[in-house]
Amino acid sequence: MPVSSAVPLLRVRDLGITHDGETTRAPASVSFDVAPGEVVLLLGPSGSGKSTLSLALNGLIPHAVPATVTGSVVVDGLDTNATTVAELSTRVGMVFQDPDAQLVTGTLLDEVAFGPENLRMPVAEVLARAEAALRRVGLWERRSENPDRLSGGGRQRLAIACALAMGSPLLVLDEPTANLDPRGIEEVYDALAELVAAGDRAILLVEHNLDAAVGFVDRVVVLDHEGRLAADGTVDDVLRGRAEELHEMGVWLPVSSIAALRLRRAGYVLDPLPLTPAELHAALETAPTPVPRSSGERSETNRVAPAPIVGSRHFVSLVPRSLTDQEEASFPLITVRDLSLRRGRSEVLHGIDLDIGRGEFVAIVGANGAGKTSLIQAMAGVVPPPRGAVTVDGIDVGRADARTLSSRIGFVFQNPEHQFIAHTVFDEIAHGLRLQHLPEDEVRTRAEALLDRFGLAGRAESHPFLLSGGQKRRLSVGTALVAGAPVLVLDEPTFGQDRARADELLGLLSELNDDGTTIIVVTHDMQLVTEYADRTVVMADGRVLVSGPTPEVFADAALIERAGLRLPPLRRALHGLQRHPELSRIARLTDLPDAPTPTPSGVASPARAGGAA
Amino acid sequence: MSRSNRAQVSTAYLLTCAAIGVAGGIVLAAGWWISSMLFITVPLISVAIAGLWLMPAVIALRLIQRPFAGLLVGLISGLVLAPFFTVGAIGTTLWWALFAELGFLLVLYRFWHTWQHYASALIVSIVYPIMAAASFDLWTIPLGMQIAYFGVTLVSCFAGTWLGIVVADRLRKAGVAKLARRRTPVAAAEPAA
Amino acid sequence: MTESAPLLAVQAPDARFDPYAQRIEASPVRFLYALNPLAKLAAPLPAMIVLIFVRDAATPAAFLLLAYAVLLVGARFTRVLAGVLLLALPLGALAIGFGFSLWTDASQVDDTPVFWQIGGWTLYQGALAIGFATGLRLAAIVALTLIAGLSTTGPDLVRASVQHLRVPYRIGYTALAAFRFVPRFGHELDVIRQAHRVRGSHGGRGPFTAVARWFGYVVPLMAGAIRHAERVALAMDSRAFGAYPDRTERHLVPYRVRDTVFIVLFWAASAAVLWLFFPWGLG
Ligand SMILES: Nc1ncnc2c1ncn2[C@@H]1O[C@H](COP(=O)(O)OP(=O)(O)OP(=O)(O)O)[C@@H](O)[C@H]1O
Ligand SMILES: Nc1ncnc2c1ncn2[C@@H]1O[C@H](COP(=O)(O)OP(=O)(O)OP(=O)(O)O)[C@@H](O)[C@H]1O
Ligand SMILES: [Mg+2]
Ligand SMILES: [Mg+2]
Repeated sequence: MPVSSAVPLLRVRDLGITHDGETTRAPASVSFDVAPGEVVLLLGPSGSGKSTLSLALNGLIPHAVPATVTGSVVVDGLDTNATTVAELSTRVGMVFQDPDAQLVTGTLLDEVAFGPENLRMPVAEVLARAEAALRRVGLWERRSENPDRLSGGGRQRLAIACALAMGSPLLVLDEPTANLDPRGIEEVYDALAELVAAGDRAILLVEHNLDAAVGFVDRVVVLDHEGRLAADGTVDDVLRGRAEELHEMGVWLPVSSIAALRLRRAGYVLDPLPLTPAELHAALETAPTPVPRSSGERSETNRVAPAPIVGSRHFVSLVPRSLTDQEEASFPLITVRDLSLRRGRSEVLHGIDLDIGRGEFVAIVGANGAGKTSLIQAMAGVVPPPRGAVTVDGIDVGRADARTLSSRIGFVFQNPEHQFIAHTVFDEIAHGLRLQHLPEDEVRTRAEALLDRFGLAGRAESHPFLLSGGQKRRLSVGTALVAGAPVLVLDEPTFGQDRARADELLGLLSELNDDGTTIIVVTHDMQLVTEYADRTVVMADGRVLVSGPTPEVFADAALIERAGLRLPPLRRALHGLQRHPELSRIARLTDLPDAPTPTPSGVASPARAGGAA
Repeated sequence: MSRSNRAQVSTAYLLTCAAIGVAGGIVLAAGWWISSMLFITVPLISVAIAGLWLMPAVIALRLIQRPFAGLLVGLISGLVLAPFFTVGAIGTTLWWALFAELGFLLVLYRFWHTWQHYASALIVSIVYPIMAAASFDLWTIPLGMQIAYFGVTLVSCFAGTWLGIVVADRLRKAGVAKLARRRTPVAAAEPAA
Repeated sequence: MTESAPLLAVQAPDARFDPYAQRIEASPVRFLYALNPLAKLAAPLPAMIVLIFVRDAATPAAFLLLAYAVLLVGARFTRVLAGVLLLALPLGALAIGFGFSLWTDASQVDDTPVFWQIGGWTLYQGALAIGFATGLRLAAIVALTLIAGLSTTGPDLVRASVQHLRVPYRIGYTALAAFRFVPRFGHELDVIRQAHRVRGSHGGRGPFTAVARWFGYVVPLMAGAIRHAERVALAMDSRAFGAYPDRTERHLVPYRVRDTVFIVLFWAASAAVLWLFFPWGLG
C-alpha cells in the first residue's frame, strides 16, 4: 500500500461486505487509501464488488442497503458506520450508472440545488453553489430546462454537477458512461478531465470502458474474482507493468493495450505499454519494423495475447462463411422498402430502404435518438410497419400475426427483464416450445439442451429475475431463439454489461451466425461492431446514412463523425501510420499480425482480412 | 449497528411505495375507465372490479410489511390519477387503501399474517356497499339486486386481495424491494438458492 | 420567490404535453391559476359533501352552473376544458341519468305518469326523475373538483401541502418523485406489452385472456418500477435527503388574502344555493 505524505481523505481497512441473502463477501478484506486530489481507478471482474464497495464509501451500506460489514471505512476522520449518510454526503459525492435514476426535480437548477437545500443552506448560498457546479460541467446556460430534455451524456454531466454542489472533496463515480453513445461518453469525460485539471477533488472511478478513462488516472486499485485486493499502484506500475497478469485475471485493458500486447508478440517493440490510441500511434511511429523471430522474453506474453474480444470459435468458422456470402446475398431475407414510421405525433423514420441477406451479421449504429430501435422494431413487427414496407422471409410484416412473426424473427429487448413471463428459467425457455404444442418430454429435452448450451443448466429452477446481468441476457436470447426463428434481432445487447459479458454474448451470436442464423444488432460499441459485423448500417435522424461492408463504412471517417459517432479505438490508433503502412488499414484486433507461429488463428485472420478489405 | 438519525422511515421505503403507487395507478387508470363505462351502462356490475382498488395497497403491505405502506401507496396512486380523474381520485384511493391497511392498523402492526388481509377485505366489502348505496341512491333498486350488489362486492374484494397477495409473493420471489422490506433475521440467513 | 418566478415561466412551452408541468401561463383574468391550490380544494368542499346526500335535481343543477361559471371565467379556455365541460360532462350525466332510470325499482315510482312502455315493461317519469337527479348530482361533484383539477399542477399541490399543511417534506418529495415516475413507467408498460407480444404469449381473445394478459404485465412492471425507485432513493440519500426536519424552500406557494376571499365567497355562494333549495328533495 502506498503511504502518501498527505493525510488520507479516505481510508478503507479490511473491508468485507455480504449482502443480505448472499453467502459470500464481495468485496472481501480490501484496504486502500485515497489522498486529497488523487484520481483512482477501481477495476475488477464483474461481481468482484466494485459497486458494493462504492456504496459503502458514503455509508449507504450499511445504513440504507441491508448488508453485513466487516472492517472499516473512514472518510475525513469519520467512521461511516457511526455517521449518517446525510453527514457523509458533504464528504463523498456519488454519481451512479443510470442517469435517469438520479433525477428528482423538474429543472436543471432545481436538480443541482436539491442537495444544498437538503443541507438547509441559505438561498443565496444554494444558488451560488448551483451556479458554480453547473458552470463547471458546462450546463449553466440550460439551467431552466427540464433534465429529461438533455441527452444521456448531458444528464450524466448534470449528475456530476449535483455531486459537486454538495461540496464534497471526494467524488465517487460508478460506471458513469455505461449506456451512452460515443459522443455522450466524450461529454462526460471532458467534464471529468476539467475537474481533474482543477485538482481540488479526489475522484474514485469505477469503469469498464478504460479507453476513455485511462488518460487522467493517477492510481489503479484492482479487485480479483474473490473481491480481494489484487493490485494497488500507479498507472505505470499496475496497468503498464502488470498488464499480462491483470489480463489473465479477467480485468479488461484498453483496446490499445490489448492491441499492443498482440503486436509485441508479433515482434514490435512497444515499451512502455501504450494505453490510449494516441499512445499506441506514437509508439508505433517510433517502433522499428519487427524482426521475424521473437525473443525468449516475449514468449511470456504469448500465453495471454489472444485478443479476448474475439472468441476462438468465431475465428475458426470465419472462412467457410465468407464463401457462402455471395450466393445468399442475391436473395435478401429481409427487405425494407420506403419505410416511414410515425411514433406519437412525429415521424421518426423517413423512407428507409434496406436489404439484409440470409446469414448476414449486421450492426446498426447511430447516435442516441437516431431511430435504430424504431427501425428494428418495425422490421420485427414489434411496432407494426405500414403494409408492404417490410418483408421477412416472404412474409409481409405489416399483415402477419404475432405467432407467425415470432417463428420467423426473434427479438431481444434492451432490458431482458421485460421479456420474462415465467417464474423459472426452465419455463421461460419451455414457453416457446409449448406454444408449438410439442409433447412435454420433447419440450424438456430441447429446453435442457438449450440451457446447457447457454451455460444456464445449473440455474434452471431459479427465478429469471435472480440471475446475474449476463445470465439474464443469455436467457433472453435463448427465449428468442427457441422458436427456431432464422433471424435474431437484438437491441443494445451490451447495454449495462461489462466487456467480458458483452464478449461472451457476441461469441455466442457469432456461433449462431455460423450455424446460419441471420443476426442484427444495435449497439454503441464501435470496436465490437468492427470485430463482428459483416455489414454496418449507419443511421442519423431517422434515415440510413450508409449501409455497407463494415471496413468500408468505417473507412469514411468524416461520415462517421457526421453521424455523431466515433471511430473504433483501434482504427484511431492505427489510421495514417507512416512508419508501418501494413498496419494502417487494420481495424480489427483479429487482423493484427500475430506471433509468427502457424496457429489456426494465424491462418484464419489473413484470409478474413483479405476477404473483408 | 446502523444508526440512522432519529427514528425516521428510509427514503427507499418512501420511494418503493411511490413506485408501487404509480404502477398501481397506471393499472387503476385502465380499471377506472372500464368501471366508468360499466357504471354508466350497468351500474351494479361496476362494483365487480372494486377489488382492483384494494390491490396496490395489499401488494405494498404484503411486500414491505411496514406500517402505513398501504396508505402511502393509496395517496400516491390518487395523486397520479388526479390529473386525469380530478382531485377526487385521491380521496377514492386513500379510502380503499385505508381499508386494506385496517387489518394491520387494528393490531398496531404487531404481526403480519395473511388472514389480516382477508379480514380487511371483509370489512370493506360490508362498508363500501352501504356507503355507495347512500351516494348513488341504491335503496331505490329491487331487493334482489341489492343482495347481488353486496355479494358481488364481497367476491370482488376477496379476489382483489388474493391477486395482490399473489403479485407480492411473486415479487418477493424475484428478489424485489429488499431495501424497503422489513428486515427479519431469516432474511439474512436465506440461502442464495 | 422572486428568483424562482422567471425560471418557472420558461417551463411553460411544454405544459401542453405534460399533465405534470410546472406552471401554466395565463392572463390575469384567469384568476384560478393565481390561487393557492389548497384554497381551490377547500372552497368547493362543503358543497361537495352536501351534494352526496341531496336528492333533488335543482340543487345539483345550481352547483353545476356555479362550477361552470367559475371554470369558464377563471380557467384558460383550452380544448381540454371545452371537451370536458361541453362534451364529457353533459354526455356522462345523460348516460348515467338513463342508466339509473332503467335500474330504479318500479314499485317505488308506479304512482307517477308512464313515460315509456314496451310490452310488459314500463318506464315511469318518477324513475326518470330519480335517474337524472343522480346524473346531475355526480356531474356537479365532478365539476366542482375540476375547479382545482384543471388549474393546479401536481407539484404545486405538493408544495402547498408541505408549506401550509405541515405535510412532512419527505412525503412531499416522495410525491414529486412519483410524478416523475409516471411517464417512465407508462413507457415501460408499453415495452413490456410489446415484449410479451413478441414472445407470442397472448393467444386468443375474450375478456378472460385479456385479464390474464394484463396480469402478466403487473409483475415485470412492478419489479422494474421498484428497482428504479430504489436507485432513485440511493441517489437522493447521497444528496443529504432527510438530513434535517426541514429544508430550504426556493419555490414558495404563498397563501394570500385573495385565497381567503375566494374561499369565503364560494362558501357564501354555496350557502345561498343550499338555503334557496332547502330541503333538497329530502323532505
Ligand atoms: N442488492 C443486492 N442484493 C444481494 N446481492 C447483491 C446485491 N447487489 C450486489 N449483490 C451481489 O454482490 C456481489 C458484488 O456485486 P457488485 O454489483 O458490487 O459487483 P461489481 O464489481 O460492481 O460488478 P459489475 O462490474 O458487474 O458492476 C455480486 O455477487 C452480486 O450478486
Ligand atoms: N414510443 C414513442 N413515442 C414517441 N416518440 C418516440 C417513441 N419511441 C421513440 N420515439 C422517438 O423516436 C426517435 C427515434 O427513437 P429510437 O428509440 O428509435 O432511437 P435510437 O436510435 O434507438 O436511440 P438510442 O440510442 O437512444 O436507443 C427519437 O427521437 C425518440 O424520441
Ligand atoms: Mg457494478
Ligand atoms: Mg434504442
